[in-house]
Amino acid sequence: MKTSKNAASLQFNRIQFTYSDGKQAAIKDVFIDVEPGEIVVFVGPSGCGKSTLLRIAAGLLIPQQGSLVIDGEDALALAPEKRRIGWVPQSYALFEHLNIAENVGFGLKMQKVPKAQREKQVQDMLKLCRIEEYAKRSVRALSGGQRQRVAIARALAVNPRILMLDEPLAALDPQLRIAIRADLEELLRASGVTTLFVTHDQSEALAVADKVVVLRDGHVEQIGKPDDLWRYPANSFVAEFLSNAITTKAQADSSRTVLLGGELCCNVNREIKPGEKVVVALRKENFYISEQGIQGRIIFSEYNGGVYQLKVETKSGNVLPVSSTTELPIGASILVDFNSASELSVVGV
Amino acid sequence: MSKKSTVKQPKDQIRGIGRLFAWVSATMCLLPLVLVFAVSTSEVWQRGPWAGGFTLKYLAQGWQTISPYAWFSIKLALLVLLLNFIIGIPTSWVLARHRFPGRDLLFSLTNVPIAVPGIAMGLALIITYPLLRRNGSLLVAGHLLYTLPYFIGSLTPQLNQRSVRDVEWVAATLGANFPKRVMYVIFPKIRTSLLAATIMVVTLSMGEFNVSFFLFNPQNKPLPVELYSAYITGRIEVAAAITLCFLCFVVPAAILLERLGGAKVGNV
Repeated sequence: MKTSKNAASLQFNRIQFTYSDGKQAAIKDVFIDVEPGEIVVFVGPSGCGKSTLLRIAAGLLIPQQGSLVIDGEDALALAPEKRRIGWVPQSYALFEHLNIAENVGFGLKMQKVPKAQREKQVQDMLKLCRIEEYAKRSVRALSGGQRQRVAIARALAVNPRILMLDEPLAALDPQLRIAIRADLEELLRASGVTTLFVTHDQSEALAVADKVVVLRDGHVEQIGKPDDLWRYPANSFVAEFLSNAITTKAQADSSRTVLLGGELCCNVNREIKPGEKVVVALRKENFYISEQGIQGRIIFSEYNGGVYQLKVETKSGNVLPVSSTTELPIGASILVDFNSASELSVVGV
Repeated sequence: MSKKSTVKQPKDQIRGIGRLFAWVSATMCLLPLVLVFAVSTSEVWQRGPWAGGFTLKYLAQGWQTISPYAWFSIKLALLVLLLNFIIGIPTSWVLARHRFPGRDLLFSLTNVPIAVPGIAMGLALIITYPLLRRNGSLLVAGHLLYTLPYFIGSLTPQLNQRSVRDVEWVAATLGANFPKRVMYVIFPKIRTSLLAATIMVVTLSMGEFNVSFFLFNPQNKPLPVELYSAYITGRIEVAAAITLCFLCFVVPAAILLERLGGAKVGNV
């Protein structure tokens, strides 16, 4: 991991926040530790508090309780303009009365950086973000992807200790999103700055993050590396939200297997007590259509670019996710087996 | 070479009717202005438009009558505008950006003067502060009360917009303190609304009659009050000429203010 010399650590320490017109706390007792240079992605459904956490870190909202430490310094005592944080909102909030170079140089001008040095830094930033040929253009003439780059260049130009991106890809159309996501990740890695990245898109979170924070209703459900969260989700919510898994109860058959619906023996990802009831997460890669296995009826089918995502209900009432390369009608009866190379994630007992 | 085929467009009756209504409305609004021009430039209007010949003497006479009052009205409007800026901008900011107990009530209260008839407001002010009438400050207060709700009502929704808040927050994270944020980011963003509010205040104050009628004194007589005197005492050609002079003040002022801001009024 390349780390910028400015990259800072950040701790949200038991942060509580309620909006003045809100009845419920928007952020409840949140503790998050961010290492210098890390890309940490906050993910969760709408209204879970992701953007609120960013605004608290940026000094735009003041929490009622808790502390915020940036590089060992009490950040809550600092006004937003003193925190040296780059914030890119979902709307990008470009200054439409300024051209692109002036947008990128705005922060440097506010910090009274001499003109010659400012121009050089702006040029460097435009180059890093690959928008140098648009320097004199109006921001109104830019596409969504270009606007995003200008917003990031503007935030990075002031050498922030932490960069905060609030749903930076949300305004882009689906085809652009994946291409620009890869570009953005490359750009963030190249800059080496500590980054907090908000999204409600789980695939985006898993693709970009060094560390993922899953939030729900203002509190943290789980923090970890993307692969850890995928393989070992802490609970049903994390499994369902991050991997679109179906969670269901099963009985432990041995220390590493469960019987699903009393008929299908499946491997699990951790030790369990034989005979105990556990909650497992079922993903489509865990099952396949076979000549043998358990019988079920297709209750849902959705075409997903060359593959049909099916949901199959067994006689015992379990719903299994499975993929098919051919179209099968809803209501059809098929046989489904467990993919023995995979494991079900245990998400609760 | 093949012949180009033209596609026959279906008739859009609603659009046609709408266009007709727009033209009728515009004509109805402009017709009185044309008549005012005709009356003020006709030698003897009773004989018909320009029947006795075209003349500018009534305009000259009208201007001579009202010019001192016109300059007073301009000065009054500019003073009222300044007070609107001093009081209205911070009030709009607080109403737009801060949530506090009683905020909605305060916002409703700022709109009360819109619902109160000018005559009632004028009467209430003169009963409450009779001594202030003599030095003209009651007239200023009346105009301020009358225009402030429009000023705040025009500015508050704009300051409350997420796009304005976002640019301000971004500027804050980039190191701009509050005065710099106002100057470099908020002002350019709300310029159009501010301009609309400015035009509204100036034109409302210049044309205000009801409040002024109760609060003026002979030394501080606004133009609309003098217009009224001219209408009830003078001949119709002079009254029309005075009206034309008045319009010559109000309309170019609105156009000029609009052009200075580089945007159309209402495009907020």
